Amino acid sequence: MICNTNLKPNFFTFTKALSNVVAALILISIVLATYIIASHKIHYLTELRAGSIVEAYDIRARRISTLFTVVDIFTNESKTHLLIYNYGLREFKIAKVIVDNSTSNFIIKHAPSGNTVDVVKKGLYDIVVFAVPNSRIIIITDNGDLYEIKVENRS
Amino acid sequence: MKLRLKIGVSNLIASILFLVLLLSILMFFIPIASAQGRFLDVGKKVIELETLRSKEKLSARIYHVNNTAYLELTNTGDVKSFADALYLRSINNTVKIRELKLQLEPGEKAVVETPELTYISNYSKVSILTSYGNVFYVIDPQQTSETSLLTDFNSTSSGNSLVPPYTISSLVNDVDTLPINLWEGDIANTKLWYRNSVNETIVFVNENDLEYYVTWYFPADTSYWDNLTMGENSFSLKERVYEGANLGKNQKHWYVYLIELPNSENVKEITANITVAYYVKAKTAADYVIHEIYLGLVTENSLECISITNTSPLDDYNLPVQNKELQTIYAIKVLRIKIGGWRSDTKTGVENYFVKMEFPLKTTTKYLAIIIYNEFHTNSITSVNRRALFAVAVQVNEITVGH
Repeated sequence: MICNTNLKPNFFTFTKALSNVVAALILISIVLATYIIASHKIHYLTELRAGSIVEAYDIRARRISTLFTVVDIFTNESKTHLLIYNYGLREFKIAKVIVDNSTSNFIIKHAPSGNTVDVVKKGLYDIVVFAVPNSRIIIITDNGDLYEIKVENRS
Repeated sequence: MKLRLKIGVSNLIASILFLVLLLSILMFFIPIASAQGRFLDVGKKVIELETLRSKEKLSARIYHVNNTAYLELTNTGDVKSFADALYLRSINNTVKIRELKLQLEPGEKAVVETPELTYISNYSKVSILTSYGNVFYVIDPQQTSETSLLTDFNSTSSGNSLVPPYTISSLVNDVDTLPINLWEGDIANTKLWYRNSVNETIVFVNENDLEYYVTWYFPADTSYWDNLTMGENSFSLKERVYEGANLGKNQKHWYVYLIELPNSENVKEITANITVAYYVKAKTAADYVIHEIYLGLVTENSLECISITNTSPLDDYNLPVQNKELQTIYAIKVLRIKIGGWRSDTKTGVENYFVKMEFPLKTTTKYLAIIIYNEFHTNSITSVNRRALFAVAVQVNEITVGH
């Protein structure tokens, strides 16, 4: 009886304490297991969302750091020379040139040296477009930015 | 012991949950914060660059010594200037680029031997390009680009004298000058055209007569600019753009100030030295305002057309007169403001221009037009009545007519 009376409270105490620990462990296991199981999805969604926001910021940063001045524009025979000076924070490429409403072939020359280049770095460049515009030239850069240059026919 | 264990387990659970939560949040926000930081850094650099660019100013003079030309450049701006290259386009459209690579402190002068400029008449365009992207024109009879001009140009060559035969000293009086409002777009449909005639007070009022849309001042009201005074040969214009009263979200308004030129027949060249102060204020990021100033030459026929028109001018960017007889337009200032945040933004400044208008054939012109073009766009969906404010003050320092 003595033993029984002594054991009963101890048993209850142990049972209660054990329950808490077990409960805690079970809870932690559930949380971790859920996280591990769902982590791929969470990670994917997080990256997707964060990636799109990061990309949006990067696009805006590239856009505002692309700065150039139109120095001159003139036609020579069937070609148009558009001279631009890149003073921005980044070099860029020209993806497309549209004269009036048609895509035109073009080459880019580093104006001081006359060398044909693909990338417009800091400095003066001559965009030689193989067409003569009536109203406008549109330049589309590698960012997808569009620059319209209105041409006034002075003849 | 029991109590400690309970508290310990709770803390452990809370800590793990917190860490999981924190990791998830960090995984999301760290790349965004990093990209945002990069964007802000680029934005700061661009603002610094554009600020320096707007403050850069050069003046130039060409000297001829023993039949060789020397180009004297003076930094008249507030910032260090980097003159990168001299751009020359010949009459035959061949381009020559001369590297300058000059660094000029404010107030500093530099003289460069430029044999290319010995026969200046061989070139249809000569410009100085700076590292800040400014293009300062030495010669540009067809200049339409949005860049600054040389503030001074002179030649001491007797063979290529550019000194005009006479100078107009006093310009503004009721007889010789005439300001005109030219409206385009929705506002034209409101039938609020004013009629102008000599000596008439020029104001443009809204339907309720509560507020002026446009006010002209003679001489210029310079209250928008600190420490700026203008003399009698000046005028200013203030326009408030309203979205209310069905005026529309896209408005384009022209204003023309005409100066009658004496001896306007057989004109070979006209030079104008003017000081322009501009002030543009827009309200929110949904607003996009453009403020441009041009010089143009107007014949008497064009003027008649302007005077009698009571309909909107044609929707033509560079031709604010109905019969398109404005002969030549020289852009001297183009300012575009697109507001970067949900706030109002103001841009202001004072610049001096020396504009040289040369004609291949002698021409007859009656008026020199100072054309002010204000354009306003908004994507705002909220009904804010007053949207933008434009103000410009022009001091006519000197106009010369060469025959």
